[in-house]
Amino acid sequence: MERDVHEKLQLEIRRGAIVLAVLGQLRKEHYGYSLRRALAEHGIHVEEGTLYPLVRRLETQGLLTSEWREDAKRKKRFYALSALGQETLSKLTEEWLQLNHCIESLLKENV
Amino acid sequence: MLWIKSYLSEVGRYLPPSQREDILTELETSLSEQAQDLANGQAPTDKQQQQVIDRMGHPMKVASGYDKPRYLIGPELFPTYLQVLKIAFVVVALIQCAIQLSFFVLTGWSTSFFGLFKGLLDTLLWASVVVTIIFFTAEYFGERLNFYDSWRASSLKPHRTSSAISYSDMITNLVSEGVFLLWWNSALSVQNWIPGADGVLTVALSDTWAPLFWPLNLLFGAWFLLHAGVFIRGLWHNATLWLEIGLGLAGLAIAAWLLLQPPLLQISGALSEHATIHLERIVFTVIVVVAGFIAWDVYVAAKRLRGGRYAEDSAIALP
Repeated sequence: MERDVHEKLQLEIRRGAIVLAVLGQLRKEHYGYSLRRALAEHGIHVEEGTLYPLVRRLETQGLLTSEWREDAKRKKRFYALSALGQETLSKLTEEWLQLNHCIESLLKENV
Repeated sequence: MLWIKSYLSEVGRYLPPSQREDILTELETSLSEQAQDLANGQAPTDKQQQQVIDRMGHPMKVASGYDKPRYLIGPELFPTYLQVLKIAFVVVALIQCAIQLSFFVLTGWSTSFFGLFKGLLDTLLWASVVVTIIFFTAEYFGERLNFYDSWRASSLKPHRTSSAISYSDMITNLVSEGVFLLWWNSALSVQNWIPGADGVLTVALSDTWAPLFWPLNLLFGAWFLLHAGVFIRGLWHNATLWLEIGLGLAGLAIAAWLLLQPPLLQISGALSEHATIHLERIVFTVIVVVAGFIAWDVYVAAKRLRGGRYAEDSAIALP
């Protein structure tokens, strides 16, 4: 029960953070698997079942552009930030940093 | 990569046709590259392919990730759906009772308790189906409720104390009051409840009850309307609590008066004196039990007014 609650809360915290991480990582072009690896290198492990649909949603929202290309004899879909995506990322980054600062000071205060 | 291909065709079964090819090509690239990473660039074995597939999960779960979240009735519409359902239930119950009474007045036709119960259940079922279809359609077409945004604090009516109702109590009250009103006005027949008694035994209320025809109609009608209103609002307020206490005290006074006016039944037919006394005692006990329930309701309402034990977990005391 306690574990369930912890997992649910952890999932809630991660949900928003993953969007920001994906947008941040897609300042550079990536295809699905390379994006996942790049995130994992930064310590952010995202299941494919979560990551790929998320990337598609972000594209539908106009935050990403995509292009099918052949690479290493495979057909791959490359994603990158659109102009709207860049604008959104900078706004979200600002908000993230501000929030992070507030949460940090709040948590330290209560220790 | 036979395992990966089989897996992808399974995933494809659950994907929307318009995106199927696109998604499967993307997944194939990813799974193949992962399997190759496991095999250090060599042709992956069956086991390595299975490992990658296991990490990915059930085909239906993977496919569902690409679908937008779907609800029959989503979290935004759901509270309003419940509220409308409650109102529909009360309105339908009122209409049903009114129809039953009108039928009796106009044609003299009365129904049995089970007839009433079945009729009410059917109507409530239809009401809930209609309300559910309306809200499902609204959800499907993405309709949103504007009144959430236009709501202002000024629309509140401040009360000193308000406390949440107990739905089970309220439904019990509404059902018993509705049934009593129908029975009291002879729109609900209970004669068939005594098996084999037709023509042999007649049990009726004595003349003691005659002066109570209108007082009991008014009392139970007021109770029914009060409880229906509170049921829809979902809250007790000062005014409704005072009304509940007032009606309760009136009910207790009537019960006390009845208990002091025997006989309560008029029995004719082949029944021994002992059995007659026994039946009279049963009715007496029933009235005492009903009075007990009424007294309990009055006590709870008074406690709620004072913000006592029965209001503690549900009351919002306002300054």
